[in-house]
Amino acid sequence: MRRSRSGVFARVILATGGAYFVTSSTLSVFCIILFASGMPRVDVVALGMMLGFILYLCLALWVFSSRRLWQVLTMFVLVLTAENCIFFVIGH
Amino acid sequence: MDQNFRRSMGWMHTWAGVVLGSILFAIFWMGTLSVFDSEIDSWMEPATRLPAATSPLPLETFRPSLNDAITAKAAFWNVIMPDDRQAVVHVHYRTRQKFITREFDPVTGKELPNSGTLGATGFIFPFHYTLEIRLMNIGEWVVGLASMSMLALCVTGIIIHRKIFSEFFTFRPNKNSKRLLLDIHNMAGVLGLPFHIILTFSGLIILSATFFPSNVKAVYPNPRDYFFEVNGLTFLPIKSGKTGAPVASLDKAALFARKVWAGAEPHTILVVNPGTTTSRMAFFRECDRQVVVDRDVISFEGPTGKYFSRSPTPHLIIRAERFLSGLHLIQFHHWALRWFYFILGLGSCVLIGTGFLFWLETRRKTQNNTFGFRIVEGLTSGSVTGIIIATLIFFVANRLLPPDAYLFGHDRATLEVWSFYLSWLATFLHGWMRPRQMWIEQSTTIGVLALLAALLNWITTGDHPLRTLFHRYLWPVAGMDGVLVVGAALALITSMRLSRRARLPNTLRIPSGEHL
Amino acid sequence: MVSILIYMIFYLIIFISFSLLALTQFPHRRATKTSELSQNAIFIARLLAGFLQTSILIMAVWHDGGGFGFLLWACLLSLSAFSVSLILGGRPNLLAPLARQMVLLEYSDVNVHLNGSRNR
Repeated sequence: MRRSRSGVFARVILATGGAYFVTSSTLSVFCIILFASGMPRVDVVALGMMLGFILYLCLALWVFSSRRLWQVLTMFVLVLTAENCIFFVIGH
Repeated sequence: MDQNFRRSMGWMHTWAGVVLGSILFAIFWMGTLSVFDSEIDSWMEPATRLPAATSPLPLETFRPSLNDAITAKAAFWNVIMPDDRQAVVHVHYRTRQKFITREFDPVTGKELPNSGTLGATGFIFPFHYTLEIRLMNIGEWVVGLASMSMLALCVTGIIIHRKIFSEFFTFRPNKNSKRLLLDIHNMAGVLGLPFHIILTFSGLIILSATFFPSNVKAVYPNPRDYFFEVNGLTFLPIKSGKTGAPVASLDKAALFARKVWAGAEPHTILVVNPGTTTSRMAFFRECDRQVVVDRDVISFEGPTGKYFSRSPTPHLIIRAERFLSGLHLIQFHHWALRWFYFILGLGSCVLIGTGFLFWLETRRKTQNNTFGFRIVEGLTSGSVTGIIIATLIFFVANRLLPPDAYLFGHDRATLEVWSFYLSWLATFLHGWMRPRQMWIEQSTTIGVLALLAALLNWITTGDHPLRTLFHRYLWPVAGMDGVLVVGAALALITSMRLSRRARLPNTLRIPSGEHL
Repeated sequence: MVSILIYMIFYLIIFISFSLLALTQFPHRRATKTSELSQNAIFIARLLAGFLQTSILIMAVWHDGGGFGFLLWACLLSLSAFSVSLILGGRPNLLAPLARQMVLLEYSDVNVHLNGSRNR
């Protein structure tokens, strides 16, 4: 399968780094929300970890399978911004 | 399924496999060996091959080493009592400079001479999850990346496998080598899929706090608190006190713990900040009859020996987490399962190895002499057969180096590790320099080295197979020798077959067994 | 020792169940030189295999407890599937008797039909 070198590079970066940061910030928000709703914090973090790897896997596969890379990129940026906003509103 | 989707998944499978396959093979190989880490330890440290004690020693026997730890201002000191897999008592403590391990005879309580090796628990097991790259946890991050890609490889492998059910049991040993490699790859992948996925996933879970620190930081002001809480070590975060305080009687505390546990024995005894006014003693109950690692911990105040706390019973989610980490860490006592893990782990190694070989085989005709092909070829030889050779050299060096070996400022244990790395490097070079003969030569080397290791064990310790088989406490050694001999036989058969095929002219290589 | 025997029995039964599954597939029936089965017999064979595997899961859990039993069962599934593949690849003749016996499923199938029609 032919792909441009820069496209491949962008996909690899997006699948490892991008998906990682999206997962990480999603997990933080997930933890804060569940913790605020009264779950013990050990449980919250342990549950978040287990789900986090699955989310990361799905995101990474999505990056490689999607045909239009800019869609993925926009989605990632949107999610990251939204979650950081939530983080700032609730987390502090 | 969408053709384009499948093709992009296939692309990802190929390249993630080629790029990270060597690391994955190293992780899986070392992990497979770590299944029997205590057994390999007793093979590598002949002084610890002792019959099991009938009753545990009083804990005060180890008081002198505790006093040593106190004078060295150790951060902790612990005793690990003998169990079914290891007969000797291990004492560990960490001073400012280094981590010290001492071993004691379980019957007399006398200290055993320094074994001069890191063994499996000191080298092979840490290599499994850190690749021995300690700098800034880079090793753990690389292992994490490789594990994530292993999960991705499993999923993409299923997606690109066209006939997963109709070829579920398909294995055609008589077809051409490309088809055969793909069959083995599919067989190891599909049939071992639960093992690959669950073990990779649980491995990630164990190191999850390293990989997603922000998750912990979101709800814990101090991330260490999560570690303590999830492991039932909430008695640990203590302020450092003044030095000069004693540590109360360990046996009295152990008596209390036994009474609480209705007679169960403590497996690990830990003293944190020994010799200070705020020290704590903790007794971890043995829990080798279950998969879940929920060790009941009872802690005492160090200087007075007063009861301090007992770990709470974990909730459902924590139990699930500990089930996953427990099934990965295999601290339990179950011989059949241990062997199954070992065999399935070898299956994972076969999966990764055949993946590499298939990549090479599909490109051998078209791009035999391109730079990339040669790179991957050398990489494959070094990372598949090479790490096996290096491990065997590690074992052979362990038997050959004299007890007081000292070279270029390195002690015996370090020299063993160096022999591992140097021979590993040599196999890469060999793969690049002799691409035509490398598989034959390297599998012959594996066979010879494995036989040599088993033979050296006999010569240097006198524990020959007949003797090891008839003494229960020598079974670990017998098992290791047995695996070495079987492995040697397999490697030699492989190399003989390969060289016979290499001698056949190309035109004769028509797949036989096509009569139907 | 008793445990080893029990695990061997577990392994054998799962091995048979996987052989049943494999021998419903055309290439493997051809390799064992037996005739193809009807759809109904294939269905019964697969049902039987599923039943055997589930019952081994239950027995393993009963013998070893929840965690160990489940892990043991999962490992045995992989291992016996491996051995079925290896045998079908190398010595399919070893499974020929079982493949021939599977024709019995066909007959029982017919009997059921006959009984059913008689009742009607």
